[in-house]
Amino acid sequence: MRAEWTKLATLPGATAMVLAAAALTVALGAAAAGALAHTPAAQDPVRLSLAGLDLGQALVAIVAVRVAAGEWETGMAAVTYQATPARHAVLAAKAAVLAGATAAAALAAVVASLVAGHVALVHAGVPGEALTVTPAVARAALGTVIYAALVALLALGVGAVVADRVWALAVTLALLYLFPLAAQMVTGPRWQRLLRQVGPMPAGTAVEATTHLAALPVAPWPGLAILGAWSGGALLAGWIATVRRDA
Amino acid sequence: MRAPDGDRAERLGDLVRAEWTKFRTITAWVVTAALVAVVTVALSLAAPPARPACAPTGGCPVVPIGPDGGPVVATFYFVHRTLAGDGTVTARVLSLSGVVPTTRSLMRGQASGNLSAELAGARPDLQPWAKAGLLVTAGLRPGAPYAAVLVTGRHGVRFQYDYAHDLAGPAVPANAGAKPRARWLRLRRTGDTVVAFASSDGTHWTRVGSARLTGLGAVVQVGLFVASPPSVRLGLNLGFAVNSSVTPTVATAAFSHVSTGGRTSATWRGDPVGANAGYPALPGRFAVRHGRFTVSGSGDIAPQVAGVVGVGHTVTRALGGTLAGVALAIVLSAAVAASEYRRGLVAATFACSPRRGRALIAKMLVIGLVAFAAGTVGGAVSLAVGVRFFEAHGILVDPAPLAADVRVVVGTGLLMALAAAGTGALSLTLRGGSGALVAGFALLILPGAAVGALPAPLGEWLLRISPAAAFAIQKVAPRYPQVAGLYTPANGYDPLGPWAGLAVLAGYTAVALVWAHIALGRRDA
Repeated sequence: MRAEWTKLATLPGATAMVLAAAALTVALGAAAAGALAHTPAAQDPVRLSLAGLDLGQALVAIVAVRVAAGEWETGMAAVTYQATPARHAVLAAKAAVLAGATAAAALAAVVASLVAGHVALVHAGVPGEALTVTPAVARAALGTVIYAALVALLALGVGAVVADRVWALAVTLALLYLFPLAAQMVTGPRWQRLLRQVGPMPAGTAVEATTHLAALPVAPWPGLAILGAWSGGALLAGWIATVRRDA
Repeated sequence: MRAPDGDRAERLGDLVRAEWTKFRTITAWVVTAALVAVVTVALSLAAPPARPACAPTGGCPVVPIGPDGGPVVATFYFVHRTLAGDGTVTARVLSLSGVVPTTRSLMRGQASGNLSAELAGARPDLQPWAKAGLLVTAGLRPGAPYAAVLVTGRHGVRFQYDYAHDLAGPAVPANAGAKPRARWLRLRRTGDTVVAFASSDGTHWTRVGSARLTGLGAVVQVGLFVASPPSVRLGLNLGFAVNSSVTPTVATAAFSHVSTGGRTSATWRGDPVGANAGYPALPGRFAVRHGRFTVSGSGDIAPQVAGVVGVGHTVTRALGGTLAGVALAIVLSAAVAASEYRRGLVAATFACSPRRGRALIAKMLVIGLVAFAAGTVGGAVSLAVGVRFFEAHGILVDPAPLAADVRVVVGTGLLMALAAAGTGALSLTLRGGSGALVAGFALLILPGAAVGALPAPLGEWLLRISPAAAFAIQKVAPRYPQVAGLYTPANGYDPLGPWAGLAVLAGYTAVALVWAHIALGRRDA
């Protein structure tokens, strides 16, 4: 596992990418919270502050896909699997290292986003929307950290199946963003609700909501579990693909 | 290392041919390029807009067509008399007020018998384009030629005729005091010409405008009318959803000194016009007491604006799959451009053609032309099949002139070509597809999706500066100032014109190409 950590830490641009993801999350969250001042009331300040992750997750996906698929492209995979014939162990080590690194970065990003969002709201003079540490907010923060790690694992699985960086990234982005986009385009309310319940991103981001919980298509923790199911499925598929592929 | 006949290998035509060969020999790429067109068509047809709701009595909404052939909204309350030949109608508008209902059934446009009781709890809020005034029209058929002089909620006195035409009247004088909307109004009809006048005291009249209405006929209807357009709220919802609420509103006007000149019928009749056009409106009514007319109305007399209000859709709606097609084109171009670096082929490419600038152009030309072909084919098929498909399913599509259709199809091709070329160039610069893919995705795809969730000023700003402005090339609806409030990005309207939007994307693509040129020239491949 230490080998995997070294590989991740020395990936060119990986550190920059993770930092950029965190920074982007914070910046967008602050911007969204600032925009709250211009819109009608009854919006969710916590969800808005954490909204930056909607875009930051794409950067997380890039790193994860690179970890998974990068070795196949350069031929490094042969070396890796010669050193460690038990391929499932390699994949597990990659998953653990990636999830850990993502969670750590996400924790920092979430805390910074909430603070930045709070500052933006206070600055915009929105009354009564100050972020206090309530159980709901703590749940949102913890859930978001887990969300980031699960997205990374989802991308890892997809990358292991599709051993090509660009296509794996495309598939991951499609899985993440197509469901809410389709829900926006489709007209039947049943279809819209179904797409928002099943899609990894809309279900997973339900954990970020602290108000209007009844209006969510799926409850917070079950939503995160749905994302977990997607990630688990992707990892399983990735494991099968890795084991069966010629190095 | 130079090729044996150094000049020949550097001719652009040969380079392009070489790139084309590289492209077409990889089946996956050719299939994906075809899929761009297929996905565009499939997704355009897969998500048709909702069919307009037919009334319980079985009448389905019919979009009225105005005198110039365009779709219009003609739903209002009309207190009228018949006029044969030339004549005038004069009235003094005493007041104009409006309410927005707050009860659920009224907000859905379902009124039971006792409307005044139901509106008791409504919120007072006069719409900026609420209208009350005098109207001369060929008949009660929605879409008939007309001319009207009216006071509005917040735009003063106006003269409007045949739906698309709107002229401002004299400004409110400084001494209007507490009743800025109190006006004397007059319409005089002579043959096919109608002239409008306004006055602040009933003695000194100012000419506001005149119009020649074709097809007015000898017998016309003249009288008082009131209309109030619906209140539209587009809400913020970060689940990528658009919350829209369209609430019909009611305006009430008081008129006095109502008189007509010429051969008119004896009695005033009150009739709702265009009640079954599917436009959000509530029933109107009128009452006369001691010469004072109190008229309430709901609806609008204006050109139709496709979007959350209004029943029709523009042809652009038949191209809903373009977003997915562009996304796939971006993926393809990132993959194609990145493939050279993946296997180390780039060294061979640059060895064969040391003029790297030309190699770059050749590669981008091939990618761009392939994307253009896919986009044009996809756009054309979507448009042709989609419009027919929608109409066959009872969805109303506003017709667009042929020139607009051609511009939409060619524009879709250009949009895909520029997106692909820009992403490809970025891939070459970054020596990999991932960064270019995310950049293309974030700049082109996400703004279009996110803009529905942003407040209008932010959404417009986003659509001005991001390459997603290029999607404006597909928009066909003309804009009328008298329905200005509906031209927001969340309602499907772009702040920039079609070609201006495409130029924004072209600018980004040019920057990407220049950057690639500099980067490739400078370093070891």
